[in-house]
Parts: sequence; C-alpha cells; structure tokens
Amino acid sequence: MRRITMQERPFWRQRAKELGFTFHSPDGEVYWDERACYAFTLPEIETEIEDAAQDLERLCASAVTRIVGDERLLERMAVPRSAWDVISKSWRRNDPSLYGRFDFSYTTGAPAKLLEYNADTPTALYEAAAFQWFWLEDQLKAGRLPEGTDQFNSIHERLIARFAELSGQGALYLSSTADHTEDRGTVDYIAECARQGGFETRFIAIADIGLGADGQFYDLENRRIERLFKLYPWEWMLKEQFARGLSSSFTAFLEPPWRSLLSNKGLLAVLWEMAPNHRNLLPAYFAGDPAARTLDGNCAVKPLYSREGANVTLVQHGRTIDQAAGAYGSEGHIVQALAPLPSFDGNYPVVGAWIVAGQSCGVGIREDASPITRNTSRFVPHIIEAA
Amino acid sequence: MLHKQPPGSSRFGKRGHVELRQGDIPVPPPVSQPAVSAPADPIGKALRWSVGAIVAMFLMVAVAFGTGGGSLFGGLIGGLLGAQLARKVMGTPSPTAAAPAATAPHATAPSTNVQRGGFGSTASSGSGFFSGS
Repeated sequence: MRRITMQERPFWRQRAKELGFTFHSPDGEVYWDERACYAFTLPEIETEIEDAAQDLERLCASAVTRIVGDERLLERMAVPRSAWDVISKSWRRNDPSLYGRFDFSYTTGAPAKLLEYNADTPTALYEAAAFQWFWLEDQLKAGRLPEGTDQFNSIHERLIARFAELSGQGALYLSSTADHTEDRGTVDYIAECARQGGFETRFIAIADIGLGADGQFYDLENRRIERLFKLYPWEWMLKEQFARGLSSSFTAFLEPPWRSLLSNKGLLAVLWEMAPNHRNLLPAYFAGDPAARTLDGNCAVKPLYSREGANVTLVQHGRTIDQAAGAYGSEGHIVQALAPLPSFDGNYPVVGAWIVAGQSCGVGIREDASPITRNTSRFVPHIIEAA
Repeated sequence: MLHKQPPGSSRFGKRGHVELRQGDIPVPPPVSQPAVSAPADPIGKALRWSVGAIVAMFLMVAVAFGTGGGSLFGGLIGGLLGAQLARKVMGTPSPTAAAPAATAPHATAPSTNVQRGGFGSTASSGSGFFSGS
C-alpha cells in the first residue's frame, strides 16, 4: 500500500452538491480529501483485505453463538441484563443483517490486523460506496490514473441486492437523530438503495417513534412500523425508555439486536480467546484479565462502547503516546495489543473493509494526523493499481 | 473478481442496479415474524353467535314446515345461510375475506394510546457520545 499525491478535480465540490453529498467539509474542515489516494496491488486487496474480512465475518458468527450462551461474557461486555433475551431471540431467529465495516491496521508485507468491527451503525458509507467511485471514473477520464486502474468497490450494488432480498410487504422506515447532517446523509443514501431494491421508504426521527399500548412501535401517523433501519446505537436503545417495547414489538430492525454484540469492543477479547494467533487478530483481553500483562505495556485501551476513537488510549513501552477525549469508559474496557497505523508523511490511514449481507465487498480509507482515527478524520479514496 | 460496475444515475448519481452472478449472495434465512392476533372481542362474538342461532332456527322451522322429510338437510342449509346473514349484519369477516386491520401492513393504533420520545434521549443529552462509527 502506498500513498499517492493527486490533483483534485476542480469541479468536485459542485459535483458533491449535485449528488447530495452534503457533509464533505463539516464546519469548514476537510473531510472528503482527494489530494491523495491510497494504492493497493490486486493481491493485497484480494488476499490481505477481502479474504481477511470474509474470514473474520465467519468467525464473528461463531462468536455471537458463544456470547449469547454465556452469561459471564454478556456481563463482561456490559450488555444490560434486560436485553439478553431480545438479543438472544434475535440471533436464534436469524434476523438478517445489512452491513458492517471492519477497521484494519494494514502495512504492506504484513497481515491486516483487526482494530474493531463497526457492526451496528457504520458510517462513511456513501463516500465509500459511491463518491470515491465517481472520483475514480473522473480521474481515469482526465488521464490522471493509468487505464486499468480499479477499485475494490461493489458496496452499492451489494446494498441494493440485499434490499431486494429483504423487500416484501410493507414500508421500510429509516431513522436517526433529526439534526445530524452526516447521519441524515447516510440514512438518505441507504434509503435510496432500499428504494432501488424495491422498498417504499419513510424517514422518522428517532425521537418521533411511538410505542403503543399494544407494545408495537408506530410512526407519527400511528401506522405500525414493521421494518426499521436505525442509525442509532443499540447500546443507547437498550437503555432508553422504549427498550421495554423491544420484546413485545414485531418490528424487524436493521441492524438487528444481535449485532450489538459485534460492535462491542468486548468482541475483540472473545475473538482472541476463540482463535488465538489468527493472523488478522491482535491479542486482546478484558481489562483486569491477568493475561493482559503479556502485552508488556504496548497496548490500546478501549472502552467497550467507544465509537469514533473516543476515549481510546495508546500505550507504548508503558507510556501513553496518544489519547482521545470523550465520554465513554464507565461501562468497562478491553486491552488490545498495539498495532500502530502506518505513517505516510504523518498521515495515519485505517483501512475500512465493508461487509454487506455477509460478503466482503469494498474498502474505504480514513486517515488522521494522529495514530487514533476520530470523527474528524478525513476520507481518502483508494485504487487498485493496474497490473 | 469484478470490481468495476457500469455507470447509472439517480439522485446521488450512483451506479444503477447491477445484475449479480447467480449464487453471489447467499439467500438469508426467512425472517419469522409472529402474526398479529385480532383484538379480543368476546361480547361481540357471543352476540354474533346468538343472532346466527336465532336466524338459523327460524329458517329451520320454516323449511321443516315447507319440505317435510327434507327438514334436516333444509335445516342445515338454513343454518348456514343464517350464519352468513348474521356475519353480514354484524361484520364478522368470512374466512376468505381480507385480513383484519391489525394484520395489515400499515396497521394503525389510536393516537391516545401511543407514547413518544422514549428513544433518542441519549443523543439529545449532548453527552459527547457518537451515533455513527
């Protein structure tokens, strides 16, 4: 993998506006960044990223089976006891999943190492699935990339195909907080994929969802919500007032409740226990586990519920080298062996490998000026170099 | 492996639908959603049965007087007709009629029975948590 400096398309902001990509420069800061791209060889993509993500997805299914059957693990992962039944039933019913994103630390010549699995509310989706593809097409047309240059990206097609599999009677509701531009943009994109897959779609703000006396969820016109895609974390929903309706309602959720176990950082400790020495896993333990001492002061400390790098602490040789602020941590932590992101002139990329319907199908890269990827990190397109 | 896809257009300008190779995506197991039971209505049900029985008896007597030996068969027919009539009058759906409203795709509930605001409190607390990841 290498980082290549690129010439920006002079018209890309106008293009983004036309396409509805509204959050490319939040608060005037660069988020979509096409001043560079990351280049992979085809074997790197196929063997080191695609295969790794596919194998980990399979392993994650085994991990869920293990966790739902082990109260000790559910407690260590800080899953509310009141939610155990909802999660377990969701898994036993095989409630279908839509998507997820594995985040890898990857350097050429070494296996990709899993940092976390964003299995509940992954974002950076539209930019990975669509906008970076248009970037590739435009750069090829402009002759700035050699003919035959490719991209690991069938995310969009997979999403539509997945919705086509799931579509049937009834509308798909999509929900997020009403006033978050990026979340709303992501939800709008997913809604479009759902429509192309055959669904009628309706947006409802998460706070507008109603709970009837019959234990069912309703929209603002008091129509029952049969299917709900929600860009709202399960660990929040499971603790909020309407969690009481989850066991009685017939609503089918995307992502389903069992995915909350995979977005929990405790998964990393479970995976390592199940498959120690897996080439794509890092040693990881629940905080307080005596085995964590084997990491010898070279580790990342991560809150179980942390998102966007919040409250992650990187420790090297027993010394804190980076720390992100945030509000997480009261739920407990895991300790994971340190796998520093590679630095390309002070830019630290994390490779996001997308999974749709259980299939590894694309890559999106975010980079930061620090070794911790945060909500302010930039999205940088990627290519597969022509053979 | 196919990475490139043909162009298309939509509001986002994304590529259009792409026909995937057969077997490319595994078919997920069916989602088992329990059916919604019709609302309990014991009083209305009893009333309908009573009306049905009265109409049936009336018809049975009328047919018996009119047809003599064929009274049993005629009574049965009369009973069925009576039950159908009662359904029509009282609104009981026949087995072939449309599903009750509660099982329709967009079932509605009385607005007075629906509470709101029970989701979203963590996000609105401004507590520094992230919804996306």
